Amino acid sequence: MHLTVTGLNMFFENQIKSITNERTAILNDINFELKQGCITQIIGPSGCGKSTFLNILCGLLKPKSGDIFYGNQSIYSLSDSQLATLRNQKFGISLQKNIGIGSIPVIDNVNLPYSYMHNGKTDTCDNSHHLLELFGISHLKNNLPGELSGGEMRRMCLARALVNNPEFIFADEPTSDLDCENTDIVMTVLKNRARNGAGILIVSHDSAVYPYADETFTINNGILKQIN
Amino acid sequence: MNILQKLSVANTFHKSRRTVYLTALTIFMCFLMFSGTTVVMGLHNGLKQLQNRLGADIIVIPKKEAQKHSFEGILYSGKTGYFYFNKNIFNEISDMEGINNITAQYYLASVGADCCFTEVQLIGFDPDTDFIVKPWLQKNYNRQLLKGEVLSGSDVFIPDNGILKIYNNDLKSVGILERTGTGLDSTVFVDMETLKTLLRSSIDLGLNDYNVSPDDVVSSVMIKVKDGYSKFKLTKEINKRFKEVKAIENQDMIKGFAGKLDTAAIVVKIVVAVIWIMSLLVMHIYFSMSLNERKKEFAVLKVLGFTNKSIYAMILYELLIIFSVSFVLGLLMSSVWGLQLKTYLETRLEVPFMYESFSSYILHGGVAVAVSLLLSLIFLSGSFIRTVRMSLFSVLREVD
Repeated sequence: MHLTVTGLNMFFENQIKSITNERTAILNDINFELKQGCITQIIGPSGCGKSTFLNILCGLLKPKSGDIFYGNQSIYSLSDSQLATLRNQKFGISLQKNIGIGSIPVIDNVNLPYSYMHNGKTDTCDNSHHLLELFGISHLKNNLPGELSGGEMRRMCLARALVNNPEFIFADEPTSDLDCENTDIVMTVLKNRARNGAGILIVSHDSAVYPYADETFTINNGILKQIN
Repeated sequence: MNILQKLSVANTFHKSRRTVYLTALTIFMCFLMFSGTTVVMGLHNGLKQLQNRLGADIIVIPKKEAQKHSFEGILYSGKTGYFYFNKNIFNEISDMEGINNITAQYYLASVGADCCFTEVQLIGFDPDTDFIVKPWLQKNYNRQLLKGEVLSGSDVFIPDNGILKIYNNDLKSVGILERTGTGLDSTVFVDMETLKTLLRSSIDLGLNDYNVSPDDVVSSVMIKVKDGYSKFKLTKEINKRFKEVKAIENQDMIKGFAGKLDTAAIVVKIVVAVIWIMSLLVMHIYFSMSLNERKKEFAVLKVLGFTNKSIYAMILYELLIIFSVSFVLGLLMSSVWGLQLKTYLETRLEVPFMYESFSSYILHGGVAVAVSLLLSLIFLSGSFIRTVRMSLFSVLREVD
């Protein structure tokens, strides 16, 4: 299964657009394929559109033009609920900002996508416990997200993105709050997922990610270019 | 419990301050709706009962008493009173044309002294001609009332031995009448002969303002007009022929009162509506603010694959938890307050007030509260649909 991007265009509409009709291209005619079984890293200066690209790819944002295909299916031809199901069952997304559901403990946060996938079942799956172990935060499983540090929160969000064993994983700055040791732990987990067949897109400035990436792209002036 | 319900419960308890404020506001709304509805209904029922109890098309009482509104006092607010006029007038009215039924009633009031068990209004009726009291009494007491027996209104205190001492006569209580919400609830009913005996005793004891022969007087005359005859003409005719008495059509008897009740009901409705709308606005502002705080939470749920519909369901569960608690507490509070209010309306404002049966009271109040909550929900739904829809966009934009 491939996730393919064709002719993707995204514009930032200037606030003075109504007067001058001026538009700044963030992403310009991008064609891209996210392959399963490898880690793809996107790098680029701040504000170049890396996160926008990631959000478009996982169906959270809609581009001005172009299409995203999951297999042969355009994700924009899916209904809202079909797209939600795709995100829940096939995609694992970790946003740039760490956001937890503050009212439920860490283990339930991690288990949320699994519960939702199983029609609201509230049992905790083994994978949730396993992921907390892998990320070294199993001792915090009964804490509320508000009680976690930035790094712990980051790992919780990553564990949550992985709990349904998604085909594609999208991680925006997954190592930004982590020390070297935890960066290695996280990247090793992601590498293993890639080995098991997941397609992983990582948006990151972090040079520590670079050794784990199978492909590296950069976005500059709206153009996506492979550099490795 | 599925995951959405679990999240709702967790959210409700986690944000306890938000929950308490929102619950307090909805309790206030429930209380207001329930109390308002029951007050308006209680007034309406009181009036309906009063109309039913009057039963006659025309009532004839002494002119002086009509001016003093003594009869209204007996009917509406349980004030005691008695008055008499010459029985010949009754006999002469009986011979007039257009009368279908006619009966006389006799009034007497016991006093708060040793000779009487308590101060109470007594009404005597003639079992042979009565068409006002008897049908009502028969519902509660399915046989002829004998001499020395009484039927009591629901608010009359009955001693344990069932004996009511009135002007040193021992009367036996044989039944309690169903509630009417009018002054008749504080009344004791006896047959004409018993009342005459009591009247004689009161005069003998020097406790009656009148010195009359019981066989020569009546207190009021009740008339049911034949079909096809005009109540208005007959009333006019009686008033023209007999200067000592005043004939009053039944609707005129309660007209002033009905107007008073209508005004009270309208004021209650307006006050309830204004406060309800204000509460709804406050609730809307508060709810929108709290939803705004939760944009990130909704965004992350969408990222995890929750549909908008699921998120609406989760918010709906939260509101249902708050609304259910408010519903129960609001009902309890307004029930307690309702009893205080009833006493106030009856005693201070002299308004006949009647609650229906407990089940109907709960049903009507409950329906009013449920409708009010449903309207609130519809009113609030706009905010939460908008917030959930925009949540993802605003969080991603914030990040980018």
